Parts: sequence; C-alpha cells; structure tokens
Amino acid sequence: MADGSIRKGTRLSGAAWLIRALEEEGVETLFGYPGGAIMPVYDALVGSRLRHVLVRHEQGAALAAIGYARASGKVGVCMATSGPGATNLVTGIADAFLDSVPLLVITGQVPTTLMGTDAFQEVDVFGITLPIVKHSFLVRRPEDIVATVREAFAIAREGRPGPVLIDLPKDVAVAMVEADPPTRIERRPAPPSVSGLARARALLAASERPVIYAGGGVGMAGAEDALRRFHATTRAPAVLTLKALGALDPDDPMVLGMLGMHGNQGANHAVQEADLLIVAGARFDDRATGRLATFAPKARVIHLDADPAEIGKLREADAAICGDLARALDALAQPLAIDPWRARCAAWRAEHAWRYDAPGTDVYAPLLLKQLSEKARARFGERTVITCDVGQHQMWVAQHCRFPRISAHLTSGGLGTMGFGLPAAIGARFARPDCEVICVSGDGSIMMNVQELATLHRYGLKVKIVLLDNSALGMVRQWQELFFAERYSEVDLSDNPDFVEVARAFRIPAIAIDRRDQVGPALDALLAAETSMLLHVRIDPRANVWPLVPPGKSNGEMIERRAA
Amino acid sequence: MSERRALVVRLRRTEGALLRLLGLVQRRGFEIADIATAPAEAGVWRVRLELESVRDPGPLARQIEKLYDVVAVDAVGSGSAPVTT
Ligand SMILES: Cc1ncc(C[n+]2csc(CCOP(=O)(O)OP(=O)(O)O)c2C)c(N)n1
Ligand SMILES: [Mg+2]
Repeated sequence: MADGSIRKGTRLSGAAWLIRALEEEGVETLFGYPGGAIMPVYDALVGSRLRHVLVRHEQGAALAAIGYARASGKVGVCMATSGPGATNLVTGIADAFLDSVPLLVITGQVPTTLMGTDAFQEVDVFGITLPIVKHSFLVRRPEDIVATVREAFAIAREGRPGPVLIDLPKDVAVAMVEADPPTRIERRPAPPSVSGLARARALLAASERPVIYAGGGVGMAGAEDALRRFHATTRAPAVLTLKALGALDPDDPMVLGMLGMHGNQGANHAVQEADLLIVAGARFDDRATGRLATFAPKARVIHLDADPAEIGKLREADAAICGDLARALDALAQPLAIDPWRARCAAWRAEHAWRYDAPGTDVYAPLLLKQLSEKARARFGERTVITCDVGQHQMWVAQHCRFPRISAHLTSGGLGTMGFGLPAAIGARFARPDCEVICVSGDGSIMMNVQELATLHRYGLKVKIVLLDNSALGMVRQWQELFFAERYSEVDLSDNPDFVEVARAFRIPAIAIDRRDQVGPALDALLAAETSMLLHVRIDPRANVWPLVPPGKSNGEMIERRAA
Repeated sequence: MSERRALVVRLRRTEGALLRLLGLVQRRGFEIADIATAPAEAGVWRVRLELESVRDPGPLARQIEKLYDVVAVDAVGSGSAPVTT
C-alpha cells in the first residue's frame, strides 16, 4: 500500500493521507496511544512503513518523541486521541516549547459536526495548547491534510524549533478525497537579520575580559563545530548553560563549566568579572543568571541567536547578530591578546574544581556519576546518551558527567519535567540504536512515568537506569532546609516501593547497592548488561547539591557546602 | 509607570489567529486597553491594539512578528499620553 508517493488523482481517506504525508517527510518512528477519535489514523497505520511505538501513557509518547528529536536532530512525532489522550500530551508539548524541540503532535478530535457541543471526549486542545505551541492547525478539510503536514514539519524545524499541533477531527480523517499537491501554504519570511557584525568585531577586539556564554541554541542551530572553532581561535574563557553541556571539552582549561544556580563557582566568577559576554544561543534564563540586575554587571553584550525576539528580551545587547549562528561565530572569530585574563580564569577554575573526597562509606552521588560517565566513555567512547529526570540528581548529572556533544545529554531544562528521563531514554534509544542509553532518575521522578518500563520490555530496548534514591523529593527538601527554616513539608518518600521488585515486575533485571565500595562493580555489571537493567542506589537523604546561588540572589553570592 | 502605546498588526484570517495574538500580548505582560479590527486586503485583518505596560514594547513586537499568521507589525508610537498606574 505505502509506495509513499503522493500523486494527484489518488483517492484515499484523510487518515491515509496523513500517514502518507508522514512517510513523505521521512518519519520512521512515532510514539502514541490509540482511542476513539484517532481510530481512523490507527487503522491507516496498518501496513504502513512507519514504526509506531505504543507507550503506556500519552505523556510518555510526547516525552519519548522529544528524546527522539533531541538525540537525532529530526522532528519527533507523537499522537493521541481526543480528550484525555490530548490533555495527557500537554506537559510534553510545554516541555518541547520551553526547550525549543521540533515536535509534531497529532491529536484526534471529535467530528466537526459535534465540535462545540461538549461531545464525548471533546476538549479544545487547540485552545488549551495555544500558549505552548509554535503553531497549531485544526484541519477541517481532508484535502488540506497533506499540505498541513508538510507545513507543520517546516514550522517545527525552521528558525528556533518548537512544537506544532495538528488536531484532526474524525470525520475529516474518514472522508475520502484526492489530496491537494503538497506545496507550502505560505513561506515565512526569513527573520529580519539584525546584523551588528562590524560592531561585534570591534567590541571583541577591544575587550580585555571576554567570556563566551553558550546555550542550547548552539546545538539546535548545528553550530557546535563553529563554537569549537570560535573557542579554539579566540581562546576566550567559556561558560555553558545546562543545555549547552557537551558543546566544549570540559577538560580544556578555558572551559569553566556550567554557570548559574548550581554551576561552577569559577564560571560564575568569570561572568561577574567579564567586560564582554559573547552570548551564543542562550537566553539569559533566570537559573543561569541569578538576579538579572546583578548579572555580569561590568559586561557589554554581543548576542547571537536565531530568534530575533530573544535579542533585548532580558538584557540589552550592545551588538546583535540574528540568524545563522555558525556563520556568525565564524565571522566573529579572531585571536585575542588576553593572557592575564586567561590566567585569572584558569586560577578560578582550579580553585573551584569539583572534589570527590567526601568522607564516609555510603554512596556519594557525585562520585558515582563521575565514575558512571568515565566507565561509559571507556566502554563506548562517544556513543553514549545520558538522560535524566529533575531534581538534585539532575544537577549532579550536569556537574559530574561529561558529554561528547550537546545531544548526548537529554535534560528537561526549561520546564523541568519530572518524569522526563525514562521516556526520553526510550526515544533516544530508537533515534540512536548505535548508542548506549543511560537514564539517571530519582525516586520521585521515576514514579511519574514508571509505566514506561513496560515499553522497555515490549520492544526489548536496552536502557540502563540508575535510580538515585534519597527517599525524598530531594531538591524540594533541600530548599525547605535552606530557605524555609527546615520546615519540611510533604517531601518524605521513605515509604517508596521496593524499586527492584517494581523493575522485576516489568521484567527488567535490577540490582541494588547502598555502599560506596559496591559502586564500581555495580556500574560494570550495569554497563555490561545486554538488556535493560535498573541499578537502585540508596544515597544519603540529607545530601544537598552544592554550590548554590540562593533564589533571587546574585551569581556573585554563591554559597558553598555548609560544614556538616 | 505604565505607558500606553499602539500597535497595528496585519493578521491572516485563520482559525485561532486572533486568539493567538491576544493571548501572546497578555502573557508577555501587556494589558489590552483598546482593540479594533477591520478587514484589510482579502483574507487579512488589520488589528489595532492599544497596550498598557511597564514593559518595553520592542521585544513584544518581535514576538508578535514570529506568530505564523502575522503578516506585519507596525508600532504607531504612543497612542495617547503615557498613563500612570
Ligand atoms: C512534574 C513535576 N512536579 C513537581 C516538580 C517540582 N520538583 C522539582 S525537583 C522535585 C523533587 C524530585 O525528586 P526526585 O526525583 O526524587 O529527585 P531528587 O531531587 O531527590 O534527586 C520536585 C517535586 C517538577 N519539577 N516536576
Ligand atoms: Mg529523590
């Protein structure tokens, strides 16, 4: 049936056209969950060459599609039925919106004749998602489906990527039509190029204390190599956001690590002292800047971004270049005579390097994660993807694992979605079967999408799960300890289920450790396993993430570990 | 001090376009003090918004321009004298 070509004169159902159009776009894998209003599409799926992955919750489908997109650089695709299926996708759509992930979301809808009558499983998903999509379509004519899919892919990908929703009423999906030829409905004008190249070059040449501040946009723009070239030419000290980790080699003395709330002190010092920030694909997020008014107070700003709306949004730019990031970086690169500044930054970097000599015999999570990352590198080289959930363990992953490229670190940055890690790992596994996929989760987060263990089993996927169990919603507990006078409120999870039993119930092998001397052998067993495996690690419930910029404070006011 | 400014947006007349525009404006911290729409050329609305905010309208105009249905945005300066809130 699926010869893939869309020829004028062919008569098919709207749903069959949808599947054809997805095939034409080169989609291989999509994630979803069926139901009433989307049944025509599931019917059309039979015999198609698309691989549909049946998850166990629609949120899992959306987050898996995000993992797929972020690991592969392609558009992720997910689908669900109307009503509860559609609302279950919403968190994933928001995640894709805040992390600028190219995602196509297809929802079934009740027939157009019933829309607006509070029909069974009718919700206005188009309306619900308006603030969290890059664009959305409600397809009212079956002959528009092919062109709409084509358009949706283009929108999801172009400029700053993002999620696009197609809501497809059931009567439109079953109607038999000839499709219109798939031309773009309307081409978007290229973003106005705010070109301050000459001014940017002058600012850079005059700077004595420049710092590169690179964000996740570098990865989306395919500008990682250009950033590396820029860094190699300028040898300017560089700091990275959570989403840019992997863009530069963390062992390079001019790479100061992550900036911001849980970043490296050295990185924050350099930014606070800089006289020039070269901002590449970053957006002055509050987790990175601390109190904005005090961020990089001495610095002029060169802002490079694909999205013109980011320029001047939170911080005025002294020079801005909008558009292709790689070209801008190449055009700007020049050797700099800033040795005294390099020496100061190198000294901060050394002074604040991570330490792993924690006393005691219980598992020290930062050390475990460092070992995990090193062992994975020794075994698999650069072919590793690490996903994580949200909380303390997420920050430890960012601090202590190393990533060969941005797409090797899948973390929910903008939305901070607990439950992201496991489905994202599933998506990454489909996207990069050549890579070893590791998911670092917490005892709180894992329960948010624990049902996807069944998806691992169903598809025989190999995902290695490291579950850091502190019997708590650790990050919230840490804030209550430090900023709410130790008034603990609803953060205790000491009644957690036996996670080893949970995993085994889903037919995923699992082992548990609780002492430091068990870490090495356990990690070896985990990484050597030929199937999925869960390593349950009991850690100290009182451990906190250090250092830390208190909320609302300046990055210059970072606090270090308190004496125990 | 909150300032009042006017924006004229030319918007393709597609499903949800007006909602998307008004939602964006409010979410980005601008209060809609007045609104007038009229058909412009075929399939396009001309929407005139009087906005009040303490925020800089520059980034807002660029946010609006990014909306897929927006054809053009013109700032027509302060619609009336700045108002204090
Ligand atoms: C869906 C969702 N709900 C609530 C939060 C708020 N939150 C952030 S971190 C955190 C605790 C996470 O606990 P766990 O997964 O065990 O990680 P830990 O901090 O203990 O490492 C919570 C509740 C969130 N980010 N996402
Ligand atoms: Mg926990």
